[in-house]
Amino acid sequence: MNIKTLFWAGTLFLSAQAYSQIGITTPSPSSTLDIRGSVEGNYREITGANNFLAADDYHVSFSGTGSSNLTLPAKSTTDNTVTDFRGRKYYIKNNSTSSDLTLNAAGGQILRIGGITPNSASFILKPGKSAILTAGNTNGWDIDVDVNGQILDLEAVLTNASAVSTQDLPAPGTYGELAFSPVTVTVPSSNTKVLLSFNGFMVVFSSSGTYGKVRFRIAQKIGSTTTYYNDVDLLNWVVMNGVSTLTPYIPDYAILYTIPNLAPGTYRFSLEAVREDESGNVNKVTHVVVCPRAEVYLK
Amino acid sequence: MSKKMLILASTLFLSLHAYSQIGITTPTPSSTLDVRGSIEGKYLEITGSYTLLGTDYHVSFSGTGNSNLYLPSKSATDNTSADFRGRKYYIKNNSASAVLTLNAASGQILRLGGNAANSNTFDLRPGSSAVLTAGGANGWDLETKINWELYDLDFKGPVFAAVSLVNSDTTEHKLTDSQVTVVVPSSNAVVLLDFKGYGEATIPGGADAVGSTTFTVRQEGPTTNYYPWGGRKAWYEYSGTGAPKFNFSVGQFISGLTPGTYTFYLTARKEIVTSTSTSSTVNIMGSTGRAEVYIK
Repeated sequence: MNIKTLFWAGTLFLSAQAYSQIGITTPSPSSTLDIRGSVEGNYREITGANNFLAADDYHVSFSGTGSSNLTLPAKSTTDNTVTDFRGRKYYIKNNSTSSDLTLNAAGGQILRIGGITPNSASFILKPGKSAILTAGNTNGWDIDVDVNGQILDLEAVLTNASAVSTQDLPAPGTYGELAFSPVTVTVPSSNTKVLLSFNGFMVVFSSSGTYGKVRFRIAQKIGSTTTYYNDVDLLNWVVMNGVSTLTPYIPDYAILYTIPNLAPGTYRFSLEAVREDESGNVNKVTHVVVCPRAEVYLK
Repeated sequence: MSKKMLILASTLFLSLHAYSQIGITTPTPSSTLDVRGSIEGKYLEITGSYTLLGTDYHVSFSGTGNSNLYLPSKSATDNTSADFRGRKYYIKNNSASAVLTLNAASGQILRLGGNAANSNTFDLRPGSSAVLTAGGANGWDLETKINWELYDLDFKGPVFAAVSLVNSDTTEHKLTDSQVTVVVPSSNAVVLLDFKGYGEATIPGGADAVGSTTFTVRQEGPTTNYYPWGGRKAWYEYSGTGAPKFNFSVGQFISGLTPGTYTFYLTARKEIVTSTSTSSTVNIMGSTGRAEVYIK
C-alpha cells in the first residue's frame, strides 16, 4: 500500500480533533485536504474523432486535425453513493490549430454556462480554448469557459505626417491602390468576422465648373489569389462655377465593411479607387490620407 | 498510528474494489481521489526570477521589475518517478507593470493551440494568470488569455452647442464635446479613436462659395501630441441654396504611448474658402468622441 509508505515517510498527517482534515507534508492541515506541495492528476492526449471522458480522467488535451467529439459520462445519481461524483473536475484543453472539439453531455443532461447563455447539451470548444467541467447534481455540469466575443487580430496604420502621400489617381476607368491603405490580419479559424474600416480624404484640383465621381473597392489578397469587393463606397466632387484660378475641392469618405466566414489564413486588405463620370477638363484627383483598420472577431 | 486508526478517525477511506480509490471524509469515493471538502496546495509569493520546484502549486508574482519563471524539464518516461505529466501549476502576475516571462526548459514547448504558435517562452502580462499542465512528449499545456482585449473606453457627446469659425479665423477650435479620457496601461496598448460630427457654413447674401474644414486630433497626458491628418471636409454652396450642411468622420490609431491617463479631442480649423462674398462662417454643431484602448 502506498498509503503506508507515505505515512512511514512522515508525509501524511491526520487532524481529527476539530475538523476531519488530512495534511500532506504538513501536520496542521487547514483545508479538508491540505497539500503543501504540488498536485498531479491523470494526463491524457487525444487526437481521434470520438472520445469519451473516463472516471479516472483529469486533464485531457486535444490535438487532432479534424473536428472531434468528447462525450461526458452520465451525471452522478443519488448523493453519497459510489456513483455520486458531483464536485469532480475535468480540465479540457483544445490545442489543435483549427479543429473544434465538441463537448457532449449524456442524453437529457445539460452544460450550465450561466448568464445569458442558455443551458445546452453540447458546447463547441474552439482551438486554443480551455474549459473546466465540474459535475453537478440534477442540473448536470457546470462549465467554465470564455464565451464572449473576442478580437483575435487587430491591425491599424497610424495616420501621421509620414503616412501621407499625395497620390494622383490614375486616369478614369483604372483603379489605383491607395498608399498606406493595406492592412494584414490573420484569420485563425472559421466562423470569424473581419471588420474593415477606412477613413480618408482627397483633393481635387480642377477647372471651374467641372465635376466627377470616385468609386471604391476593397482588394483581398491571400497568397497569389486576389478577390475584389466592389462598390464599397462612392463619392462625388464639384468645382465651383465662376472662379478663374484652380480651386480645390476636398471630398472625404468613411467606409465600414464586414467579411464573414473567411477560410483560415493571412489576408492583406487594401483600398482601391477609380475616377469616373467626369465632366470638363479635370486637372487631377489626388488622394491624401487614409486611416485603415482591420479587426478579426470570433464569437 | 495505524491504518486502523485512520479509519477510526473517519477521515481517510480506502476503496479497493474495482478501482483503487481514496475518499477523504467519505467512505464511498466516486473518483480516484474524492475529497468531500476543500482542497489546498502550496502557495508561494515571488518578487523576482524563480525556478519552479517539484513541490510548487500556486505561484504569485508581485515584483517591480520584469522577471523570469523557469519551468522544470518536462517529464520523462511514463510511469516513472520522473514522469509528472498531469501536474498543474497556477501562476498569477499581480505586479503593477512588470512582465513575468514563462520559460520552458531548452528544446521544450508551451502549447497554446489555435492560431498561437507553440513557443519556448510566454510573456505573462500584469494582471494575467496562467495554468500550466505538464504534458508528455509535447511539453506543457498553457491556458491563458492571448487575444486582444478592451482595457478602457470612453464615449462622449454630442452637445448641441455650436463652435464658430468666422471669417478669416484659421486657428484651431476645440470641440469640447468630443473630448474623451482613457488610461493606457502599458506601452504595447493601442488606442483607437473615432470622432463624428456635423456642421454648416453660412455665406452672407447667398453667394456662390466653396470651402473646407480641417480636423486635428489633439492628445494631452504624459506626452502631448497632435495628429493633423485626421480628416478634412468640404462644402459647396450653390448660389441661393442656403447654408450648406456637412458631416464628418475622423478615425485615428495611436500605438506606443507611455503608460498613463490621456485625453483626446478634436479641433476644427477653417481652411480654404473661395467665395464671391467677403465673409463666411463655419459652425460645428455637435461632435461625438469614442476612444478604446486595446491590450494583448
